[in-house]
Amino acid sequence: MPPFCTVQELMVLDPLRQSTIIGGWAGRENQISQVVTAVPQLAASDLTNSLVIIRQESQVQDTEATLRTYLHSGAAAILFIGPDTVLLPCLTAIAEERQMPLLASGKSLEEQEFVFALELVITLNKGKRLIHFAEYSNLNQLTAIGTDLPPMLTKLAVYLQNPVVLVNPAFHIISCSTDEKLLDHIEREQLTRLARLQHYRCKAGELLATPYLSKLENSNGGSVSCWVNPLLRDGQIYGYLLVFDVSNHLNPLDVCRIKETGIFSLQVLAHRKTIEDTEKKYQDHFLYDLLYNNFVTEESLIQRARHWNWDFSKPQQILIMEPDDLHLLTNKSRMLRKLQLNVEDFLQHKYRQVIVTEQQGQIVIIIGDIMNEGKTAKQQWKSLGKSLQAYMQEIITEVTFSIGIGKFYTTIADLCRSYQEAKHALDLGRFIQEKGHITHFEELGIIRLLSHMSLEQLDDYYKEYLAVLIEYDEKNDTNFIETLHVYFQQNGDLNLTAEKLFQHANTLRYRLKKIEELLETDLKQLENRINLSVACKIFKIRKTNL
Amino acid sequence: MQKQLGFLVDLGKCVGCRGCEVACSNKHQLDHLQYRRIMNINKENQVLGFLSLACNHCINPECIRVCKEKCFYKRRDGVVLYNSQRCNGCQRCIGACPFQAPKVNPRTKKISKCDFCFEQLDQGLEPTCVASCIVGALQVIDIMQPIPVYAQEALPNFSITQFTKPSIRVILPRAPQCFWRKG
Repeated sequence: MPPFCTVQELMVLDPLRQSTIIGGWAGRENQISQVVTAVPQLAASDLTNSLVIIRQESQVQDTEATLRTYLHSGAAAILFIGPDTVLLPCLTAIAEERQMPLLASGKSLEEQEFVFALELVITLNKGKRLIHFAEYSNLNQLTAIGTDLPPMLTKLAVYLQNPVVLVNPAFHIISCSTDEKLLDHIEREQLTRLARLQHYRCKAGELLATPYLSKLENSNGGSVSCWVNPLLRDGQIYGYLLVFDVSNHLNPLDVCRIKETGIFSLQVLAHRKTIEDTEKKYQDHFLYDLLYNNFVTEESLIQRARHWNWDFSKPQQILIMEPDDLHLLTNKSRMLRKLQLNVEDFLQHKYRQVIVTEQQGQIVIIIGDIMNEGKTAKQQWKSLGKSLQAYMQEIITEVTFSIGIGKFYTTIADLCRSYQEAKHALDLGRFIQEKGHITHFEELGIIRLLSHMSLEQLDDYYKEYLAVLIEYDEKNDTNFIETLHVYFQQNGDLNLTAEKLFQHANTLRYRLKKIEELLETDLKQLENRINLSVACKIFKIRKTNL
Repeated sequence: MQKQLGFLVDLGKCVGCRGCEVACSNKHQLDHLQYRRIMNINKENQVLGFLSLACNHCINPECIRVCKEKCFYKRRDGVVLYNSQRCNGCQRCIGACPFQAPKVNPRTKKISKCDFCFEQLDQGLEPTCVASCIVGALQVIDIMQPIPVYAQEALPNFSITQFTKPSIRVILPRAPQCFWRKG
């Protein structure tokens, strides 16, 4: 068999590179070993592995007939050369049906040029050097499309015969190829979600610079390969270009084309981000003024909010989210950016008006859709907090997140108070709950009062009740203070306390008896319980240096 | 990055001359009120140093949270100011502030407090207390920017309540140097 290359490979180099694909690109794997020009004497039956060049005849009808003939032949591909490259839709349909690449070029080119190109491609292919030529060879064509993403992604999808999706760093779809034939809307959403999960599962915490192939297992039991091309510049991820290999034939030349489109997408995204950053600066200033009561009248505030289509004439609810032990993290700003993006992504599907902003290392969430008030609302916000935590834990596994919720106020002017309350709940909540807590301001209880006492008074109080126990713990390493604290935290339930402390119930009973002896008190008396519980709380507060 | 102005007090330099206190009273024409005060830091009845304290323009200002009339607000540079026209003299802010920064003006029966001399700040000048400190113990800093590594949030012998995140940093006095040759 004579040496050959595929139609796709031949299109890497000039002169065929400059031609346009009209139809039948599904047959891009067709092999070419010779180039022939269509002449009346050329028999249509003997054109196996040939690139057939058809020049436009003077009469349009003749051209159409010639094309129709060769489209039904066994040729590998057809190149139509002529100034008028608009072909009839019926011819394109035939090319698609027969999977025969139909190309068009406006330039008058000689057959010999194609022969030279064919020989060169075959030689390069032998040395496996064709990929180097393929990389970035089409950037000029891409930049000519303009800054509109959908046409560019559609062009790539048509070339690859696979759907293409461009997502932001949180895997929220920014743009996608518009060809519904390749993948419908629901499937695309589903596959993108799977790609996100796979990405976070495999590459937790890493910043990826290299593209990789991911295997996605869908709910039907089938699997689809997904090429993930990170769009990275100056150490910052702008998004990912995803190609779902539904036709299962991605080859190195396709990867070159994906990379090229990726570079151009990156340019577009970086440009968009510059604009967004400028807008965000103004937004952040406005939100700062809102949260710190820095405005003249409520009306002026509502008026200014309309610039961003925010309706502040209705009441708003505020939540604050913060990674636990933020000061220990090395990549704080990146973590907060990731957190903000994902929180925004999660809440946008649930509420009509959601504002997510970062203020001094905390993520502030302002929600406009208040369905109900009172106790039901408190539970509703807490359950929202729980689902938000669960969602974030899936994506960012290395840290836990705590949430503070402020009180509900009917006017937007009072949001500054709710914000301070939420911060208060977040900061003081860690004294009554563990890491990853969700605390409503109204649940703080006695801690709210204790936080206002002078430190000397607090010290005097807890030492008066617990000094004996602290001294005993230090000498004997018994950790009775912790036992007492957990006992009160679990509302005096022995079983729950034992479970929490990993102790047997009888051991716990003995320890409590010992505590009673040391403190010379009776834990069954309500007054004693209150005093000791408050002392334990103060001890914990002072230990964490309030 | 957001700005948060605050005070840096160098305890090694402060000699307790009360120049900042007097300058502040003079500037704001306060009769018996004091926005800024000098506190002694003691250990076993021995004075270890002096701490110049006024409103700390906290990151989480309690005054903003408790004031129902919404008198208090925070500028974009982090300075907490008040609008006396809205004040009804309920004095909730005095009880809430761990530093007792807001004071009642006996004449107006309304609240007033340290305003960081914001008019001077807007003109690129230092607040009066800082400008009047002859030993340079009091400085204005942006606590969101990197500050000297030896500056601390808390003092070992004098607890500063931290839950409001006050914008104050202190530099502890260094061990005294002996210039005389020991016997």
